[in-house]
Amino acid sequence: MEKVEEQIDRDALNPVLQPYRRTIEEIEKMPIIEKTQTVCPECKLIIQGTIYRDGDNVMIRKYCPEHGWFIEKYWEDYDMYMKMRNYNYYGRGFQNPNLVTDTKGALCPFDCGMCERHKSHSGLVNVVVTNRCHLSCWYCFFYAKEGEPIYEPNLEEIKKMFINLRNQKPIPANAIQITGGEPTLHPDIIKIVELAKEVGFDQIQLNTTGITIAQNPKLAYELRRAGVSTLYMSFDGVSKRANPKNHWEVPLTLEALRKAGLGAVLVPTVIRTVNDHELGAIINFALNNIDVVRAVNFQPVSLVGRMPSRLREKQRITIPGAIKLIEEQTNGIIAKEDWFSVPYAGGINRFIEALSGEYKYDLSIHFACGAGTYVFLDRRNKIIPITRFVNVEGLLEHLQEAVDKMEGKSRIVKKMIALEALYGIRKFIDEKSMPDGVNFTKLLMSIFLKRDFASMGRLQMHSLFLGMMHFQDEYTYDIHRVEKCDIHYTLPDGRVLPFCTFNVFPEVYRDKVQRQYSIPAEEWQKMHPGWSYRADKYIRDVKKLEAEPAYRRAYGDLIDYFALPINRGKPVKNFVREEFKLQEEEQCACGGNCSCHS
Amino acid sequence: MEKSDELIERLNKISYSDDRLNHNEGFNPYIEENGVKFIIPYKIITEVKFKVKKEDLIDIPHSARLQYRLMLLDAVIRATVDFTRERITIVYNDVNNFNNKPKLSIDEIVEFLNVNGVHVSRDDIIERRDYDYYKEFYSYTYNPKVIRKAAPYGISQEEWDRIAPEYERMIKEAERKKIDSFKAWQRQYELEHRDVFGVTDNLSEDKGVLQRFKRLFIKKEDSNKGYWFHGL
Repeated sequence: MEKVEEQIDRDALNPVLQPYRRTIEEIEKMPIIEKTQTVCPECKLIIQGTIYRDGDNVMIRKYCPEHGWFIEKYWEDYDMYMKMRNYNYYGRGFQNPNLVTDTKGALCPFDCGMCERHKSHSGLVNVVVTNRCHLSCWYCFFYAKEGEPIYEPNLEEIKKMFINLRNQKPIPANAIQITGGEPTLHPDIIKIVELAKEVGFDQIQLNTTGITIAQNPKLAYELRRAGVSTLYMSFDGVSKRANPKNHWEVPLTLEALRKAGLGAVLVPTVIRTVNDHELGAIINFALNNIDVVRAVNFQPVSLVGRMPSRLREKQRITIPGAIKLIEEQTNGIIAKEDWFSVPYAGGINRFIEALSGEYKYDLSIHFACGAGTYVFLDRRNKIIPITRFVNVEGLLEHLQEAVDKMEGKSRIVKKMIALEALYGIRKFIDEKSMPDGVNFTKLLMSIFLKRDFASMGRLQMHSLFLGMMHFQDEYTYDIHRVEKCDIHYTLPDGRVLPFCTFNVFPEVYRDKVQRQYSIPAEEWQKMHPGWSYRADKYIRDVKKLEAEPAYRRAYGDLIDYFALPINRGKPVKNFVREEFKLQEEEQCACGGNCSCHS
Repeated sequence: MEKSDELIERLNKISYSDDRLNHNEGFNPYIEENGVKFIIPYKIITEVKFKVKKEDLIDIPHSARLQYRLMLLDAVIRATVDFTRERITIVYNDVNNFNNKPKLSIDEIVEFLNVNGVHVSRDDIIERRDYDYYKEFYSYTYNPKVIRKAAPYGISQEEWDRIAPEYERMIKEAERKKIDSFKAWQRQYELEHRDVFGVTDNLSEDKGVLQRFKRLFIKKEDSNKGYWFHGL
């Protein structure tokens, strides 16, 4: 009873969790930012959406003639929205779209495949290799439940999808994420990765719970040798309550990755009132494992499926909402001004493209879809976001000016303009504020001059990338965002779809096509004697895992970087768990018999 | 009148009935390309085109919704509701098609359109033909044509048309070198973790003077410890 009352009090005090009570007349008087196209969450009619300002918030409202008004929070910071909106441009899309329609994409998102209307090439493509999973998370729709057909393409079918992606023009897909279900359940997962490398992908991510690696550390070596660049690993919080999915296995997984030299990206799905209080703790956990954690990619929740509006209001969090919580929870070290939307980086790529004459990534996704920043941890344990020593906006404008000057010039003149521009980069870098032990100017020059992944890799070894990726749902659906999406899925019938079409309308895309290409459960069982849904499932021995030294080190021996005086010295909750601290006797080789312990 | 959602549920149930799924014993759900088998759920199915009235389609958003609803039927593989040309094209798995997937009859399709406000009958069919799923759909999505061009930033289209063949050649060469470089890195990685992979380095075993001398000059590949990016 007490806990319920505490919850009610906390909700009552938190202005963010208050119900949105405005009349339509009030809403219609609020300043309009822009109009867009969206869908009715009930009947999927394409209707006009209005993005408007309500105080600090940016909201979206839409009216369906059959189902009435829908109003949803779109972006929880008006100023940040207007700042990020300055970098929003169209990319080149596809020269050879996989689907050409008579309606020329007018019925978007219901004639997808990718069509000629799409504005961005593939930045990252998800390839589903199985719908089998060893977990049964209540909120997940991706895995095969008891009795459902099994979707698990064989090596040749997967290779065909890979080649299809590499044949995209003008910019072939260069980064893939192998996903599922749980992809490590596919018996040929190593060969799949090797195939991906053979076909020419530079960046191969593996989207996994990490549990299989915790059980079998050798797999980490095999994946690394085969060519996996990083693991994309779910990590919803530091505590058991926030992360029941893999809290106990993550320490073992990270140890295995560390030994194998394989990096990981931690991926928290952020839900307000569930794990939004642990964002700072997650970043601190990542900093404690910076030798193996390359990035933390926060994903504000996408509320797919019908939900009552009050529950949506309580659980909805957008990119600026998460950014503000991070600022609070990190003593202001990682402030909201340190974040930039993804299209900002497009300016760097345009410069490199103009200089080299080779196609580079557009990064033309909608500015509201994602954001990011780099933080450095220097020798003194000081945490320094990139914006504290780089004038990012100034640098990008400087590079864009150089791109404009290069237009139509000869190769020699272009190189001279580029050299002048590179020489001028120094004035945007404050070398006195650079992280101790990191020569950022040299790293940046290396990226521009060598233009290879090894240079990017060297940047990443010294830093932690913090990202935000907010996938849409039917309530926030904005077709202008969809047509610019560069995170795609490939289907076994050859089509390629944006993430927010594949997953928001699974009944006509993901589930429908996977069903067409699936094998019925009875047939699968005949092909795989001894297999059952139950046999795939992972059963955890909590006591055994909690007794592992790696577990107790991971959660009990953390340095609270934000509590250090150099980082403003305020401890944040959930960083250190006393019960997991190794006892002094255990740490000492004497086993508790020497005078140290008297 | 039955609502659209209820009709979709009913038609999907019918389409999965045993007599529609199973009367195609002997159907081979694979196609062979260069000696390799790939799953193909359909071979010859049916394409039907209806002439419809704009008033029934209402407008483009309603046409899109009707297209979405048609796609909710498991027996419908593709649907295009073309408001401008006053035409609906449906590629679907007819009851007479040979495969083991859910099927609908043309009358059920007509019934569905009528329930959704499009008043058609069999007389409004302007074309009905066999549709080769493999040749007309699958093969195209896996080998789409180039329909437009775009040069890299900072280069004019004319200049790009001139240098593109050389660029393609360079890219192929770079891809080949990339694979060689990766294989060299793999070998190095295996040697660094020989306890895991059980490999041996011939040089370290050979204690000969010449081999030891040679080892001094062997370039160690950069140990690529992995990296992550989004797009950069």
